[in-house]
Amino acid sequence: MTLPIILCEDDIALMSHYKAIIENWIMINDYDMRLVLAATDPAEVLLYLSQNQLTNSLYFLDIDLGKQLDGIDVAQQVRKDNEFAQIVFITAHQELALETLKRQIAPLDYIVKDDRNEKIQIETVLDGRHQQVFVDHRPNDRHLSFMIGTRNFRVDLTAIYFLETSVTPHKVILYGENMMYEFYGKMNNLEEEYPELLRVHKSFLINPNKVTAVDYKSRTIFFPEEYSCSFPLVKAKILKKHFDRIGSIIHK
Amino acid sequence: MILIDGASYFFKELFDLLMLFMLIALLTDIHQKSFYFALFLFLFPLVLLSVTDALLTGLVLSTFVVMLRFKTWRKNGKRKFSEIFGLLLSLAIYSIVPLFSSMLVSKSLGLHFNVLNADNPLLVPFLIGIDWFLSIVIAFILKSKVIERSIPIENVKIYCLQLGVFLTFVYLFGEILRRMQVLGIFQIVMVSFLVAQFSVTIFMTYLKLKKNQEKAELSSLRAQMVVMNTYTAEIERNYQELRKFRHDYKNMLLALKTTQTGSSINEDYLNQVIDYSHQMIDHSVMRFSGLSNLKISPIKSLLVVKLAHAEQLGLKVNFECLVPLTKINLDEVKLVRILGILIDNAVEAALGSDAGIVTIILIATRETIEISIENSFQGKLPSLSAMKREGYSNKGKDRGLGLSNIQAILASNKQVDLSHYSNQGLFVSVLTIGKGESV
Repeated sequence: MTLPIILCEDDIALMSHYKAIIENWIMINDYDMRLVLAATDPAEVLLYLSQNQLTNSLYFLDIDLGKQLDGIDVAQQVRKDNEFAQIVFITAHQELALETLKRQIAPLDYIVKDDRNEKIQIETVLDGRHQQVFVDHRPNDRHLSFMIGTRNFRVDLTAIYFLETSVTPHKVILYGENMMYEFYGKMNNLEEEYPELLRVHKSFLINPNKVTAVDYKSRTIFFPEEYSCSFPLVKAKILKKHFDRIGSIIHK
Repeated sequence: MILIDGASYFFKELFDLLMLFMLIALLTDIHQKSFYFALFLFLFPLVLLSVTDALLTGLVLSTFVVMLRFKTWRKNGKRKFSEIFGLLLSLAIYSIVPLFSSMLVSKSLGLHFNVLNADNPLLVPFLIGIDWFLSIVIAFILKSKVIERSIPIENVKIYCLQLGVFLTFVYLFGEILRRMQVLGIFQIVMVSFLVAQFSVTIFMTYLKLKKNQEKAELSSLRAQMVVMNTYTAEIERNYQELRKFRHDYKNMLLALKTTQTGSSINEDYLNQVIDYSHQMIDHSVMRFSGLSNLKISPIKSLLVVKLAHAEQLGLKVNFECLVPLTKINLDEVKLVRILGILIDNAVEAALGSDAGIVTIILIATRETIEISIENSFQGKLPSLSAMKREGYSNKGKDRGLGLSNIQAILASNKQVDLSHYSNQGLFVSVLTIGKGESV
């Protein structure tokens, strides 16, 4: 499916300049992408979004904090409707340091305006997208997505150790490689949505591929980084069946 | 007590009671016409009652007033105690002034105690006149000195209690003395004693309360000054850095000018200049400039103190607040407590880490305000459920109340959410506060 690209830059000369770069590069490389909108006014972008359902998409948005924070508003709106839209900020050097932007919008990349090699930066981004979406494909790599506050997160399923219910009501905690996330979620829903995960306990949903050891006597499952969780007797059979099938786990 | 015949006594009591109503009107703020109407309605039976039994009259009157005002008090509890205060004052004047006026009159007219005086027709109006005069004078003095000066409700409660006790004693003693047929000068001495004692008590209470208030104000002012000083010191430090930057920049530009021969600019050098200026601007001189966007005083003070402290400890501190924030939909005291706990935890963990970074970011979206507190940490992160359990701490016993405290503070609050996550050596706490109806 063609990747739609949206460009928003309020300086009309620059906008045409970027438009040309993008369209040329797509044409030269014959990428499966298309610049669907090149606007100077953020309102146009929002209007286009409301009229068209976009899933996978790439945005080049101008952020100029000198004026009103229009670029950020657009980015926020885009994020609200499409959590995993890829947003590239076109900015002057200062905004790079902004942690707020990184957290709020988590942009894919930055195009630094005052540098002379804007062309190469844009082309690199397009190359990257092509590589990720069309070449690497990886349809089997599933992600677990959730929100904390207004931020969106997407975690590779293969990096998850297990999830447990939190002492805070309605929240679950995700443990994984070098990471831990606490967010609103229901164990039952997560169990349904991600059949790769095994429900070994009312409070635990594990990724069996990450289990390092199982102790059936103490009814404990071990994970890397010294994490562990327990399971009730009734689940022992299911566990055994699962691991016997895999046949690669040591149990005592 | 001067003895007068039944009918005159009745009249005297009638007018005294009317005087009481007037005192109530003066000393409380009751404007409700129905209230006074009801009082007048029951005037006759009340007078009869007061002729026979003073204590019972006092009790009945108080109960009556409370009943009449109950509905208003339920709606607006704030007026309750000031009105009770006024009522007690009126009752006090009503019970004491006639006693003293009768003494005054008897002394001035040379009458004898315990002897029926029936032949002086002017006596009763004279007594009534004196009563009214004295009461009104006292009432006006009290009104201007005490009532007009707005007293905090806590203090009013204390005064009410003391007045209540005082009145109870006066009535009790009055009753006892009457039952024991002890009248005359002894009664007056007794009452004077009580009045004197309670005046002293109330005055000392007033002094003590004033001193406490002053103490509280002083310590609050001191705390404010500490914050101001920290802030000023930070600004001054900023100013010094800015001066250094200006000096360096000028030199760099001059150097640029002199090395430029012909039209080619030394690109390398130019990049150095740009890098230097960005470094200074973003990370040194203006790094806390976002604080000026935070318009909420207590939070600002807290952050100033905590951030400066963290920097002194050698941590690398980042702060960002891009948009002006004037209002946060969470009680300020709660917010200060929560932020205090979170920042203390973050600083402590960052100190134990190699990277030593603490970052505080305030983000405003359309529906929420997010406060994000991040810190680097060392080693393995313990499980969140363990952290939240009361009593857990990696700083030793008796310290693990932080996170569970926050949970307690936020338990009933639907607008606020606290979540945590950690990724690649950075631990993040996100406090999300909705912009809905206030809590």
